[in-house]
Amino acid sequence: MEWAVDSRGDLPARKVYLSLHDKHKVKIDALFRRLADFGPLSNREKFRQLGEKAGTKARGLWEFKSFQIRFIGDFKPGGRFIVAHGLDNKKRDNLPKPDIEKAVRILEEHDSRERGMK
Amino acid sequence: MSHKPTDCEAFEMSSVSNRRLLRQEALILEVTEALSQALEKEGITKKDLADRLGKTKGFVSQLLAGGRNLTLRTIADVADALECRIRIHCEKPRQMERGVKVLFNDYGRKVVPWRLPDQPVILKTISRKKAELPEETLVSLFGTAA
Repeated sequence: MEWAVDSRGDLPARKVYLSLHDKHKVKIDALFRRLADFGPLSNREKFRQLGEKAGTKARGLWEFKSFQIRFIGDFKPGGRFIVAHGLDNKKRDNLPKPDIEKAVRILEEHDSRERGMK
Repeated sequence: MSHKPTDCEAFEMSSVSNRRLLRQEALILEVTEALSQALEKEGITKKDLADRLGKTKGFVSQLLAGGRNLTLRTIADVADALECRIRIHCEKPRQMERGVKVLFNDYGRKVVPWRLPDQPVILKTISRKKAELPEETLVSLFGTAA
């Protein structure tokens, strides 16, 4: 599990994680550890893949769900999972489009940065 | 090998109550994962399970989301509806398996690959902070500390 790094060198998802109240942080923490220790979760109430509605670029990204808190990321070769963006999705079932686009952008910036370091 | 704690580790170590809360959440996930896998394996939908339990689909969703208090009695009822048996055992926390390399990204955080141990992982980004890694780590990852 890794935090994505954007073009400015910031870790946006980490900022959200660190800002969470402990009662939310503990749930997200448990989800991250579960993925790290056992691989993809089967429970779609907790971990699901974004579908057609998310748009072409975002389709296939993965979303962690813990009540209103969401984190979006994606798998990378070598058993890695990059967490790009986190949000408090108050009283909505679907992720807001701007947040999906932000996650896509951050992941692209992260990939670009990694390619530049090879 | 010593390393800077990851954010998750730092949270776990911040207090006894946080560590216990984390263990509670891990157990809830263990149970909801087992039930989800049983549903998937048997090809049973949440609606089917709700019908078998005499509950609503919303009840099942909340149960799997960990939103409902998962009592042992509820878990036993769900297992009965799935025609399976719940088994519980206690174990020490998992240790990193032998031969698995602990990797760091360029921010010094530990990267834990899953479905180890026959999957060596090399992160290109490690080179950026190569100089800050202990010599033994550099040797194990790159074959040389230079």
